Amino acid sequence: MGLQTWLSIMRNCSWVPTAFPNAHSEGFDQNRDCRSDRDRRYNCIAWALGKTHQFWWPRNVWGYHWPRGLPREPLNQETVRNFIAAFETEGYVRCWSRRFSRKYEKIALYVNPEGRPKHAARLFRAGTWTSKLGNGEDIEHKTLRCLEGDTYGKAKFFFKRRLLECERNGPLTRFRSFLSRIFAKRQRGFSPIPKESPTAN
Amino acid sequence: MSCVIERERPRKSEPIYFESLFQHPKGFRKRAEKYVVKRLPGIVHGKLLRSSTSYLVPGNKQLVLIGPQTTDIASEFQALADQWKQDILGISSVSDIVMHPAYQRIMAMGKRALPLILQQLRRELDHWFYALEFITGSEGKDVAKSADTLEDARSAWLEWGYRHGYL
Repeated sequence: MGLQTWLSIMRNCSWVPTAFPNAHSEGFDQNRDCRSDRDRRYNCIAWALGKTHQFWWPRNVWGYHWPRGLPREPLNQETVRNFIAAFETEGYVRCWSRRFSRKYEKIALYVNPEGRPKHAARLFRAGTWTSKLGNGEDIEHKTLRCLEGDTYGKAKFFFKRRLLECERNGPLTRFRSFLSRIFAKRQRGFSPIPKESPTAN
Repeated sequence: MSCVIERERPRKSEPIYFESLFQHPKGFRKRAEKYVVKRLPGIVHGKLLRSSTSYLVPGNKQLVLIGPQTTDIASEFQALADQWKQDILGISSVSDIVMHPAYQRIMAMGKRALPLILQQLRRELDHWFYALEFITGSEGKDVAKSADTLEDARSAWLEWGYRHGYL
């Protein structure tokens, strides 16, 4: 393996503060917040949607993934509407809050001043966003402003999707779970006093 | 795009050309200066306000200027590819990736660049598919048909390259 190839695949986020001028002031640490090696197989949109084997972009060239039925757009003519439709195919709906919620996964879409989508980030946990930077690494950043600037524009559109865990843990599911625990205990010979307790003997 | 027209770069004394070229927003002026003011052969792209038969004008307001051919195409290709890779590291938009001036210059090399692109693609996965489809035209239109991932497209193009003697 040549030196150049090795350099290109190693994890090195030292270029991030140069490419994104807000990164330093928003607390980005190139050692702590760099989360993966470089990978060209997927991009920010795929990463935001939780996929790491496809490159999502509405380009009319074979190799780029875009949901079936949605238009592939000409160079520099990408529309937010098309991206909204793509996110909807994955169960996301538009929302107006960038705040963390335990019930929802959230995505922020960055658009440039002309309104062309340029990047997407996913809200990972309270106060932490995760982004795939082009062909580069996955990073974590505390604010959306960290990546705002000439390259990506501003985070203007937000999307949410209900977490599967929350759907599973609805009141009906919790009641079912309670009943199943009761029946399981009855089958094992339910006793209010644990057998291990010295008073049980 | 159906044809490539080769032409000497316009001279500095063409004010209309410069004015129109530099109306493009953000960073474009800087990039264009590299190729036009420094008198390097190559390509720039931007908004075309003046019609001219000497320019190659693809559908999307792209202006491509092609300078005199250089003898050592391999080293020129490598220099352009390295520059392109370095500049697009943080870019997610495919439009921005393929509109990069270095990428456009590689595309303008035409079929001479095919083996070099395919060799580069064999070494590592990258966004060469737009250039490959552009250069091969109708011949390569369906090479990677229905490929849904970049890896599938890469395999298809490499296979095509072997079959056609480019690799």
